[in-house]
Amino acid sequence: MTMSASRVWGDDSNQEVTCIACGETLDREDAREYDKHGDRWSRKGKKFEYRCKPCDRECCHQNRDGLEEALVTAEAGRTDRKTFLRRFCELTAENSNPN
Amino acid sequence: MQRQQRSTADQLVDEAVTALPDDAVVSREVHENAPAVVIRADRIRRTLSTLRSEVGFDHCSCVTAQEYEDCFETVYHLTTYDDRTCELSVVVPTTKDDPVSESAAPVYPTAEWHEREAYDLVGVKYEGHPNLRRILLPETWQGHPLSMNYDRNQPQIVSLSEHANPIKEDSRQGDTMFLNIGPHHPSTHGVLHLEVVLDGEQVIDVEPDIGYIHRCEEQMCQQGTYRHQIMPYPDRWDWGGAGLLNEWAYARVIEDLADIEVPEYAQVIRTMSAELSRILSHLLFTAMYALDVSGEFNATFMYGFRDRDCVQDLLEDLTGQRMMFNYFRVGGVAWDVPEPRDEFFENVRAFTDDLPRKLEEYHDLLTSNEVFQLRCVDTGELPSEVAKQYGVTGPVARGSGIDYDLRRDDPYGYYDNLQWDVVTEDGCDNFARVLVRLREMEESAAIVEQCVDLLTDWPEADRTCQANVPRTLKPSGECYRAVEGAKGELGIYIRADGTETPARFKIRGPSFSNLSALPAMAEGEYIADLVATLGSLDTIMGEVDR
Repeated sequence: MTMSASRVWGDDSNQEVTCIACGETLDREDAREYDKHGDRWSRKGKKFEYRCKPCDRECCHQNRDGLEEALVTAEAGRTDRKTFLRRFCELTAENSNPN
Repeated sequence: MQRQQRSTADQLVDEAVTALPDDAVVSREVHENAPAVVIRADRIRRTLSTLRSEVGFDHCSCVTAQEYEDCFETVYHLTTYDDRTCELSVVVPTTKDDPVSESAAPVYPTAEWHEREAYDLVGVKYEGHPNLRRILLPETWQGHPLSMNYDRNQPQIVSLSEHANPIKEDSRQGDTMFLNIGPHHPSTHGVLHLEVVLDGEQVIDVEPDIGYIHRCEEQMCQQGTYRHQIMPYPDRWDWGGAGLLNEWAYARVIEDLADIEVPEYAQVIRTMSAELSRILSHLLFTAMYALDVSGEFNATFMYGFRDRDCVQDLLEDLTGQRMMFNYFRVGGVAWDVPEPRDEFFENVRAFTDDLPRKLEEYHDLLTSNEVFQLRCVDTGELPSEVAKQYGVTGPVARGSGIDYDLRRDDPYGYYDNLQWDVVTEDGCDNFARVLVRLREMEESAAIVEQCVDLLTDWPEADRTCQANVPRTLKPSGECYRAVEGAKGELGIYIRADGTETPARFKIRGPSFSNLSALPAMAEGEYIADLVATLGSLDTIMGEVDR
């Protein structure tokens, strides 16, 4: 019995996964891996989620270091939307101009 | 920004000139990349010593020798590991009939090899050099090929005495053994010859003997016209996949000399393709190093080549070639990304999406393997101070904790606008150098992903791949520029004399300087670790011998 090239890698291809954004079920090969912590390079003990390619394209791929702290400081979910956005914009501006 | 850098550099040079002995400075010049001071040939050592200890120029990046109608000249290209944009050229003219100047080797050990090369190819002699003999050409060679009076038609007799058994006549009974490693030995990754003296299993002396694939690359570039004829050569200095990074070295120096501004869109394509090229080179290292350390790691070698093929497919789609890409052009790149664009970008994304999982496998196979750790941890130690003395750069320097990367420290291309980190490890051993390269692939993939996002959304009307470059380029001036190649700082010095071809084209291959540090790393260690140490340098002999 011959194994396909991807099976040799002992990976999770040939599996079906669900896009966490739109709920569509698709082959793993057609999906993009997603890590809620934003760091797919650290993989020990993690379980990854998936997105379909169109949903993945719509999401931001920038580094999310410090995002959680910024959300907490801006009181996300604890204040009204307008105040939160103003505070978040101020924090982002501060972080991008450390001087 | 550039003006600010220039004024800082001017201040630095003023400081440097003030610190120098009064009788040493003859005059001042301006090179395209850096200011220059002209120094008397008999005041070199004091001058460089002052520049190193008092002004802080701790990195002798390159040494260029050349001959003019009326004199010989040696140029020491100095900079600092802390601030790569602080540059100073120290120019040392010598007389035509007796070209002798003081050696810089006692101040900068890296100059020892560079001066040997200058003597070998140009014919300048260096007083006080610890071991002034030929380095690239055989000892019996007659004449100096880059000097003006060199007779190309004279017959040469090459005995290759270095291949003879040096202790054949020695009848003494002793405990040491002389061992030739190479020039044809799998662990030398090409043609490198190591002359090793062993005491039991311990290496007590190792001397790299290089030059086996010296192909006159500098001379060939000097005969090519700037516009199209030189760009294919840099690919040939590295057959491990790093060709695009090498092409960028030439592109950067000629674009500075000829004052050509590269369109932003082309800069993004350059950055993306160069980082794919870096991944290709680092994967080759990972695959080959696994075999260097132990034949048991054959599986890793196979994995490495399988993954390299994925990158080569992408680069073939983009450039038309799998190894000798010849994709960069003066002022941009040869052509746009292939149609259909979406399909190409999806393929690139598929590769970067899969890379984290694959790199985890390399960590499982190598870095978390006890046998691999036994062979690599605490072997081939290279403290950061020693690394700096030998002009070591690239992943080898970063494995010794030196936070130095030209992509960030002397920015070019589109790197400045992207989010990525310079990877360093403090281990200073073979293991640290492996970790640096594996982690650098993560950063390269992050850069590639960001470039793909940018290219996808780039307005169709602004997709300019090349600047408007005159058909014939005839720049003037002197310029030394470097880029972060896969192995380290790949620099090129060009003296342009207003003609279509360079008057002098000097290549600073990072592997040349990195390899010169091998004796400092390997002496005192076991012979088996010597092979692991040599492999960890990831030298490519194409840019060592040129």
